[in-house]
Amino acid sequence: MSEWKTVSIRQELVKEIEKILRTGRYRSISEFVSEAIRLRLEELMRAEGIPASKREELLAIPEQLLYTPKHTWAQITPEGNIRVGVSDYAQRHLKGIANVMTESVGKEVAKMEPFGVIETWMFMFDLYSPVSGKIVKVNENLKDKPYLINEDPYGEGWIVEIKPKNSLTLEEELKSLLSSREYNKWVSKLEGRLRE
Amino acid sequence: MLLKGWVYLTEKALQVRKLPPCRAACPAHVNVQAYVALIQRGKFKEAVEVIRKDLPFPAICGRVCFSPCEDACARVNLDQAVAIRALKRLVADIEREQGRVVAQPVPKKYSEKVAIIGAGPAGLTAAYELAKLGYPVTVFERMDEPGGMMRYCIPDFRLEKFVVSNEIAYIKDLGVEIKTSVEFGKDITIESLKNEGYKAIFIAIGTQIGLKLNVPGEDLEGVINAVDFLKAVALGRKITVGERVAVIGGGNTAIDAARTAKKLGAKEVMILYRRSREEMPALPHEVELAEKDGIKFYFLVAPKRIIGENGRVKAVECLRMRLGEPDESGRRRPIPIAFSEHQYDVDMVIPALGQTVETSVLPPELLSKEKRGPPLQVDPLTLETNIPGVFAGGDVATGPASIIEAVAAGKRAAVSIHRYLRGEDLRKDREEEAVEETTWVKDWRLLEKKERRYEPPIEKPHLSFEEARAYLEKLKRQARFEAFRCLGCGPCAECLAGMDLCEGDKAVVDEGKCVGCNVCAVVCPVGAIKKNEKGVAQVNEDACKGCGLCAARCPEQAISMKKLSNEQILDMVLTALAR
Repeated sequence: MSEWKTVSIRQELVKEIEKILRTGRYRSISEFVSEAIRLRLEELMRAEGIPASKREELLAIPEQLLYTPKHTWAQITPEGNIRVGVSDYAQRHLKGIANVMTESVGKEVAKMEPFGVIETWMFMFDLYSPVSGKIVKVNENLKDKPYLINEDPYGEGWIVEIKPKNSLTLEEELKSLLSSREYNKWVSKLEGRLRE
Repeated sequence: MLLKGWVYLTEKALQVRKLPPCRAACPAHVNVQAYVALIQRGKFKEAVEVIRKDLPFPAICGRVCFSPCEDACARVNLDQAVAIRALKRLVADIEREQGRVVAQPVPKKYSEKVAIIGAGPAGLTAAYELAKLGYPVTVFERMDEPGGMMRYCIPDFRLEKFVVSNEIAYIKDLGVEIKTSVEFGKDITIESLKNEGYKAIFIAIGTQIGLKLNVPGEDLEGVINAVDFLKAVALGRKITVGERVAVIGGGNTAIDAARTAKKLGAKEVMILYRRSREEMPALPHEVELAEKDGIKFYFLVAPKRIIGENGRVKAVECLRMRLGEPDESGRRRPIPIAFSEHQYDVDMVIPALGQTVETSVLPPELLSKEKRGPPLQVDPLTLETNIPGVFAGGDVATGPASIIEAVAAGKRAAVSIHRYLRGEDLRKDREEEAVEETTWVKDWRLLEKKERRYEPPIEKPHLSFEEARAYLEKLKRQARFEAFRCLGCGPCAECLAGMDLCEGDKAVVDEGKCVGCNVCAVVCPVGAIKKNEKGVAQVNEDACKGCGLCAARCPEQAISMKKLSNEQILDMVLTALAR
């Protein structure tokens, strides 16, 4: 059961909101206000003042990984392959995950080209490769338990391992990926775009 | 209420359940009006709950049901039926899209074990209903995975496998045990189950054997029955599809087989059917999709023989047909035209003429002595067989039918088994199965035309997360618009779940005004109003759900809806909490 609170707003603000209402994006003043409060709270939580532990609860973005703007992460395994999965932000949008389909082992993939699809109950989400190379391993556990991605997006929920083409291009490609800080910024920006 | 209708008063009308046309047409009587009303109010989750009361497979039926509810929808008289199936699919999908759905296990109230043979829609529904009542239920399945024809005979492009798995996982969550790779007639028999302590058995093995063509050349290489073909594809076996494929038959299985063959790479696929398009049992919607896939239809042709070369199929020789008088099924009987032989060059033939029961696995005492008619003798009302404690239903008793009919059979079996185990009369008050349509709409000219606002996407869109969120909101809005097309023509949505569709008022009769016309008693969906000995309507306050129909219908305006007093509301809350 959700709690109810009474909120009063200033008259001139109401006029502003009514203007926005006319564009048809929101149906009522209360809907607009509650949305605004929700976003403001999220913003506050994300701001500097929040302790690190609580921020991690909000969105886990491990620092040692590299990210693409399409929400896949890359990690170098001891064998020198690149392990690829989706980020926590992506996982939050994949609650209704039904199927993970990837190109089969041995297939060549290029950087920022789709190498597979995550199918949810209503949508398809393309998976973009962080590097170019050849797929050498596919996480077979995901076939029966696709929800592993939700439970452990950075561990058990990895999707494929890619053997990079050669070390020279790899270095360049890795450099162009986002660090955890940059990715965090990018996610905030996306959320902000939603807000508009 | 928008309009006041006129209701005929008959003695019979007082005894049968009065349902809206959609719900009356549904074999499982899913409460369509209630969930559409909930969708109108944006209560998608509650809508799925209402569907699950009558049907364990909202997502499956939202995809492949033949939707008799839409054919019956009162809006057909005006413009077009409400998109009931699409709405059902949408609410079921949205629920799953927001996270895995896990059911709470139901505590075992009774100790009598129930065995169900066959994990198809009939068996699983019976298991679902019995588990909800509190029985320990075990389902035995021959294949490696449960789901029956839903998993093995409906191709992936119509019903995804994960949908079937998820719906079955929900039934398992309730506490149903499913044992796979157990063959009835071999690993288990009725005797062995009874020795193991199962007090009731429900046989729902369906129809597994595809009917034969009975023409020469049927044993050639390249002839494969539609059921076996679809099963092999679903199991992921390697199947080499011919370049030119002929599917024989006009049912849904024929269409499925043809479309599957096309998707597997056949260059040309044709469907040969001995009657004309109007008589095809396949759904018109599916036929259109098949045509879009480029499948050719040849009507009024029947195979005479299959011609082979080196043991492989080379061609089918067919006879042309004309249509004669209607037969017992109401369709016009095809009559062959003499000397009309012609050939189709094909290298694969898929007969899809219907299915029959695998009688070899059934104990002989269950089989019917008569050659004609169904192979199993089953009481159509109670689903009893001639062995006490053994029930049978679904396709095995009726012949190949649809998922929703199997669900209805499963529900019926669950009621019978519950009564049998509790020592109650199996037949008493089963007449409530008799239902009658009621609708208040009489004058269609007064209603406004509205075209359908929501069509389900044929293919899932590829989107980014941000786009998906916006798209989902758009779909929800469209669905609500579509739900508002519902006329609410039935007596009452009967959501009966405190879902605040109504205001919680109760009907109060002004005895001075009542003339005893009985209209209120007829319209009351829950039978809460009766005439007393003085000839005045009397309301049973406990039964009254406050839908307000009687007040809207009363010609003398003798009935009003009164708000409950605070004490009464407190009382209701306390009793609800005590439960």
